[in-house]
Amino acid sequence: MSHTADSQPTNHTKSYLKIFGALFVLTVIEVVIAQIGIPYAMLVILLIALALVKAGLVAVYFMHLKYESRFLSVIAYAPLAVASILIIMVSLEWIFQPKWLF
Amino acid sequence: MGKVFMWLFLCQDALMFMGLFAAYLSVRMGIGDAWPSPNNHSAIEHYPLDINLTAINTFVLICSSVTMVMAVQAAHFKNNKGAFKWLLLTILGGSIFLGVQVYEYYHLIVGDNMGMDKSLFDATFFALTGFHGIHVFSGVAYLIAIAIATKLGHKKYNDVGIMEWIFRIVSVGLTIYFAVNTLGLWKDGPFVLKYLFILPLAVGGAYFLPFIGPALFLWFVPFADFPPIPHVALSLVGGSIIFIMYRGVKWLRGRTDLPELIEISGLYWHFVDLIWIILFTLVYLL
Repeated sequence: MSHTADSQPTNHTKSYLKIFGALFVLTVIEVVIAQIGIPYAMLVILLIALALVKAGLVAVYFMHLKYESRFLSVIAYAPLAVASILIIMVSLEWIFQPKWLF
Repeated sequence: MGKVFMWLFLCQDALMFMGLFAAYLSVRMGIGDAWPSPNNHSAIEHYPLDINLTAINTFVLICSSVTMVMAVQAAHFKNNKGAFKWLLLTILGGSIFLGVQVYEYYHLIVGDNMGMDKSLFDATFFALTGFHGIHVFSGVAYLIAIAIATKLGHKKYNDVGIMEWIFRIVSVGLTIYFAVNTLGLWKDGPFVLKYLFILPLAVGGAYFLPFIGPALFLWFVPFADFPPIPHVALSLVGGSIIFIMYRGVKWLRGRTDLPELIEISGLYWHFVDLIWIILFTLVYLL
């Protein structure tokens, strides 16, 4: 395992402030587009994409995944794969639901 | 090594939230237009949630995430004072978030008559935000323990031992308050049994096992002829705060790897923020 404490720590303040600004702007955009009444299908795609971008920024920069070892990243991204399988299965269940049941 | 285990914990926690999100998705896709939504697609006109208030709350949580990352950085530069300052700001942010959420819950439950058993929307809303709120609550307690360790970590055993005594005293105090309150409700109970046997037993228990002291008095809940909500809330909140702080400070005593400890607590805090980002979009905006 690599220890970052051994080497001289680097100052990331600037990139943290940039990410903070990005998160703030994206949140404002989300709140605005949710209420101005654009077509619903487009809104869903846009909002989920924005949320994933924000979550990714937090994970990669604030949780230091960018600077971590490969091993830790694999652990961190593993639930993402399981989660997408879960979400796809749930969605398929409703897209191909047996209508005669209801 | 601690970092790896925190990531493993976050993995299983993420999967728990994924289960909740999948349940939400299933319900939402099944119900279609009959779901309150802030945009004009919904068939239901009244939208109970206040988006702007929660947007400010989201902003507060993002700010606390930034202060947390600054605390981690300060700790890596061996700047304990700076780390303590940023940790305090993070704790403040988390507390504001919790306060606003309590305010929101109060207005939804009392003003809008929402509740877990009222509708599918209400149940989904309270389950998701409530689980997240519990995470924020324990995160704040965790960060308080870490902040105490940052402040006192370099001192000797006896100085940190004072914290233990503070927790013992708080635990005993809460338990006496609780005991007198609940024993007073037991009108026909014999005085000797109530105040010469049960009370000393509870106070002794609270002294020797400070982390479960207040919870010892939950036994009366099934017998109460009124909704004992404040009692249960006080005992659970007080009990868990004392539990986390007492065990936490005991565990952190004399640790020299503070930068790593702060980084691990930061991972948890960012994870809570990350979940809120997704939750805010799914529950409030869609």
